[in-house]
Amino acid sequence: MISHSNLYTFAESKTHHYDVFINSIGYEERAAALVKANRIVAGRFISLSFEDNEVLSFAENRKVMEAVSALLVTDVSEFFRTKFRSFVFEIYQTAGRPISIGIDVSSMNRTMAALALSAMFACKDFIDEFEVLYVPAKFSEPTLTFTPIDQVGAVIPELSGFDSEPALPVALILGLGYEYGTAVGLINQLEPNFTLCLRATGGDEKYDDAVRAANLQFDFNPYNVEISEYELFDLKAAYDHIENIVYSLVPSYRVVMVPMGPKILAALLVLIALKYFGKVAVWRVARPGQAAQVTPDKSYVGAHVKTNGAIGQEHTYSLRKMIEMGQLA
Amino acid sequence: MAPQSLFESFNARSLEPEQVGRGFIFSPAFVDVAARSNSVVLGPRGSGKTTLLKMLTLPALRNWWPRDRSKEVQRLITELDFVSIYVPSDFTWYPDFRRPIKTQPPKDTDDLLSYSLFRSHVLLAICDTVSYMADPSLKNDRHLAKFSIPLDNELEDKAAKLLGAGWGLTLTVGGYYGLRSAVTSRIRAIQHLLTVTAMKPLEASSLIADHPYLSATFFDDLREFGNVFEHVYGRRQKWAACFDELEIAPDPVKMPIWQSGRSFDPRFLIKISASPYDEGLTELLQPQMPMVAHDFLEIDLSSQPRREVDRFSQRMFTKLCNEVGISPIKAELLLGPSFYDDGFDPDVDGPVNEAGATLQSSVRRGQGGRLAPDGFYNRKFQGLASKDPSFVSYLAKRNIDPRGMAALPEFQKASLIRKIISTVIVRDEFLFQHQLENNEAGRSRRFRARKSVSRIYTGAFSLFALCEGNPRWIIGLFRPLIAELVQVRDISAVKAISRAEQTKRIERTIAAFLTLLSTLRASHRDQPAKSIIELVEQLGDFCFEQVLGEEFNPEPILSFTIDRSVGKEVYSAVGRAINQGALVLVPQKALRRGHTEEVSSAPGNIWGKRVRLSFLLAPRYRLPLVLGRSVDLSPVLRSNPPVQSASEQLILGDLFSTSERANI
Repeated sequence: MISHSNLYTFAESKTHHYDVFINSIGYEERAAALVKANRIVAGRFISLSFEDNEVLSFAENRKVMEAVSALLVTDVSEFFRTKFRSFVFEIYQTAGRPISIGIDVSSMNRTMAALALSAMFACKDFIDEFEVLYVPAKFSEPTLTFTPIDQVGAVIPELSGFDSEPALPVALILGLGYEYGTAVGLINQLEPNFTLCLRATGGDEKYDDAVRAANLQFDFNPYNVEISEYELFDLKAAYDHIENIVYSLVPSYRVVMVPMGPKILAALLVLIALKYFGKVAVWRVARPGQAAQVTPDKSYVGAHVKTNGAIGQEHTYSLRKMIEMGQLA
Repeated sequence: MAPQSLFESFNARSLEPEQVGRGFIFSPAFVDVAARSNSVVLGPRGSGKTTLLKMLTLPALRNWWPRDRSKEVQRLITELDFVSIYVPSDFTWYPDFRRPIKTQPPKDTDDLLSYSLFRSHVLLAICDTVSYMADPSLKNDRHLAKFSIPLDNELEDKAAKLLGAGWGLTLTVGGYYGLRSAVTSRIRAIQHLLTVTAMKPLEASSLIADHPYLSATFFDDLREFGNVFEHVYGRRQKWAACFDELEIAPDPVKMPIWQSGRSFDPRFLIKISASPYDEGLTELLQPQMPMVAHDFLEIDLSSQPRREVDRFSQRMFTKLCNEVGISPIKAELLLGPSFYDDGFDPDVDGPVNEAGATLQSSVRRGQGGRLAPDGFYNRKFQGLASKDPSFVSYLAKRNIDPRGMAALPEFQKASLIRKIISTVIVRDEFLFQHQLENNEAGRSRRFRARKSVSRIYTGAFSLFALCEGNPRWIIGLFRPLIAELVQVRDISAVKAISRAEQTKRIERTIAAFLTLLSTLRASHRDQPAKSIIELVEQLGDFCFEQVLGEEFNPEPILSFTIDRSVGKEVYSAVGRAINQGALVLVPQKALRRGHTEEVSSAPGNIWGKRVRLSFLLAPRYRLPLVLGRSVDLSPVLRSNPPVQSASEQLILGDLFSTSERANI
C-alpha cells in the first residue's frame, strides 16, 4: 500500500505540493509546524480542530491555519461522513483529474486519523494518491505516571473487526509508549492467545531508553508477549513489516490492534486494518491526561499511498456504505 | 512463531481442552466442581477458575485421567455422569469494544444485541460438545465411552436440521459442521449489527422486527438441544452448562443464569465461574435473590489452606522445570529455606545443607533446631531485644529473658513463639540500632533503608506463600528464575537460585502487579469510586504501623471486615481489589466466634466478609505472612487517610521508594 516513504528535515528547502492538505489544530507546537515552516503548498487546507484543551500552542496554531484560509472543522466525524466526499468531488471536477492529498497526522487523535484515512479510500474515485506526514516529537523526559483506563473501544465503528471469525483466538498487537500499565491492563483484560508489542526505533536513543524503562525492560511476565521493532523514519519498511505479521495472523486469529506510542503507528495500523477490512480491529484507549507541550523534532517523515489497488473493490464498497450509514446518525 | 510459552501452557483460556487436560494439576477443588450439583467457582483473576471448568469437557478429561491413577481421580472419573457444555467468555459480549468511546446506543438495543451474541456463543459451545461426543477415539476410553455417540451421517444430519430449525438458523451445509458454520455466520451478523448501531440509533423493536432470532433465549436453546438429542440418539443424557467468567457477561445474561439454579430443566446442571465481587449483581437479582448455599455449591479459590498452596506450588514448580529441560527438583533445593524452615539464614543462598531441606530432617531437627540456644528463633528474639525496648518490656511483663528462651517450659515456648515469631522476624529485620551523636549507645525506631525487597521473603515456601497458590503469579515469579538456570552452561553445577535474584524477581512481580491495579477504572457505571491503588496503599500503611509501630504489637491487625459503614465508593474498590487478588477473602471458618456482622451469601456480595492484603504485597509494606487480627474496615480508613492524595498519581519511582517509610 505504501509505495515509498521519505525522510525530510526542516532545514531543507523542500516543499510538498497537494491539492488538499489536512492537519489538526491542537495544543502541540508541532500541530502546524509544517505549514508554519512553509513546507506545504496546497490549493485547499482543512484543519481538524479539537473541541477542548485550547491551551499552550492552540491559539498560535489556529492563527497559522487561519492565515492560509483553512477550513476549520470541529465536528470531524460529521465532516468526513457527510461533507468530505462533495468537497473533494468539487476539486476533482475543477482540476479535471484525480487529486492529491497530504495528511499530517502528527497531532491528530487516533479517531481523526482513522476517519481521514478511511475517507481517502471511500473517495478513491477522486483521490489518486495521498501522503501521510508525521513530525516526531522532540524528546523530553517523561513522567512515568500510571493512569487508569477509562474506556477502550474501536477507533471508528468501521474498524471494529465486525467480520472477524468468532471462534478464533485473539491476537493483540500493541504499540508501546510510556504507558506500561495500559499495555499490561489490556493484556490482562483480554488474555489474548498471542501479543505482539511494537516499539519504535531509529529516532532519538533517549526515547528508546525511556520506553524501555517505562515498560520495565519489556518484562511482561507471565504473559506470552513478543517484542518487535519498527522503523520510525522508514515508514514503508515499518508498514511492510507489520503488514506481513498481520497477514500471517489473520487466518488463525482475531486480530486487535491498539496503537499506543507514536501517532504515526496509529496511521500505519489504520491502513493495515483498511486492507483487511472487517477482519482486523483498531482500538483506542481513553485515559485521563493533562495537556503537555510537544515541540517538533528536526526531521519528519512522509509515506506515499496510492489508492488504486490498495484495498479490494468489495471492501471499498463496504467501507463507503458504512461511512455513508453514519450520515443517518 | 516462537514455541508455546509456559504461560500458554497454563493459560486455560487460550488452550484447547485437550491441552488443558494434559497440563492439569489436580486439586481438591476439582472434586467439588465435578460433583453432581450446580456449582459456582469463585476466585480472583488467574486463580484457575477457567481451568477447572474447562477440565469438565470430554477432551480435557480424556487427556487427563490416564495420567493420574490415584484412587480419588479414578473414583471421580468413574462416577461422572454428565457431559459438560463449556461456554467460554468473550470480549465481544461487551459492545463497548466494538464502539468508539463516548458513543452510547439505547440501552435496550445494547442489551438485546449483547444477549443475542452471548446466546450464539452458547450454540457454538453446544456444537463443539456434540463434536467431542462424536469423536471416534472417545469410544476407546474406558470411562468416557459411555458419553460417545455413533458416527452416523444420517443421525447427524437429522439432529443438525432439527436444531437448525429450532434455533432459527439456515443451514447451507449438512451435519454438525453445517450447523456450526451457520452459528458463526449468525455471530458475524450480530457483530455487524452492533457496528451499525454504533453509527445510527436503532430501536430494539425494529431490530427484532427485522431479525426475529434476536428474541430467542439460550435456555430455550439448551432445552431444545436436550430434546433433540434424546429424540435422535434415543437416550436420556445429563448435561452441565458451564458458564465461564460470568462477571463479564452482559447484565441480561447474568440474571437468568443465577436464577437457573432453582428453576431450569432437571437434565441440566449449571456451573458458573465468577469473581467474588460483582458490582450491581445484587440490585439486578432483587427480589429473587438466589441463596448461593441453597442453589449452588460454592467453591472458593480465593484463599487456600497453606498445605494445599505448598503442594500445588511445588507441582507447578516441577512443571516449570520440565518446561525448560531441568530435571524435576524440589523447590527448596533451588530456592533455599524460608523463615518457615529450620536453618533459615537470609544471607545464605540455597539450602544450608541438603539434609536441612528435606521434610524428614526438618521434622527430626525441628524443635531442637529452632529453639536451640543458637537456633533461628532465639537469634531473632535476641536480635530484636537488642534494638527494641518495647519488645524487651513486653517480654519482661511475662517474666521472659530473651537470652533464656531455651530454659522455658516447652509448652510456653511453643505457644509464645508461635504467636509472635512472625512479627519478631519482621521487626528484627527492619529496625536497626542508631548511634547517637555523643557516642552513647541509643535506640531509636528507624528503618533500614532498603532499595529492594528484604531477603526474609525469599526461599521456597515464602515464595509459595507470596503467590497465594495463584497459577498466574507462580508462573510470573518462578519462570524467569528458572529460565536463568538454562543460561548456565553446566546445570549440574548450579546449586541454587541466589537470594539476590529472588528479591529482584519479587520486586519486579510486585511492580507489575501494582501497575496493573493502577490502570483499572476508578469508576463503574459512571459512578465515582475509590481507586484500588489508593485503598491498598491505605491498608498497607495501616498494617505497616501495626507491625513496625512504636510499640511492639504481639497481635497486629492485618485483616478487615467489610462492615456496612463503608461507603459505596470504598465497597466498590474493595470488591475490585478482591477480584484482582490484591485483597484476599478469608474463608468463613477462619472467622472468630462472636463475630456479629451478618455475612452475606448472596452472589457477588461481600458485605460482612473478612479480607486481608495479598501476601504478594507483604514485601512492599513489610508485613509478616500471617492473617493477624481483624477489625471493621470503615474506622481504619477514617482514621488513616491516604498519604498520597487521589490527585497525585502513582509514578514508577514510587514503587519501592524508601522515602515515605523511612525515619518515622
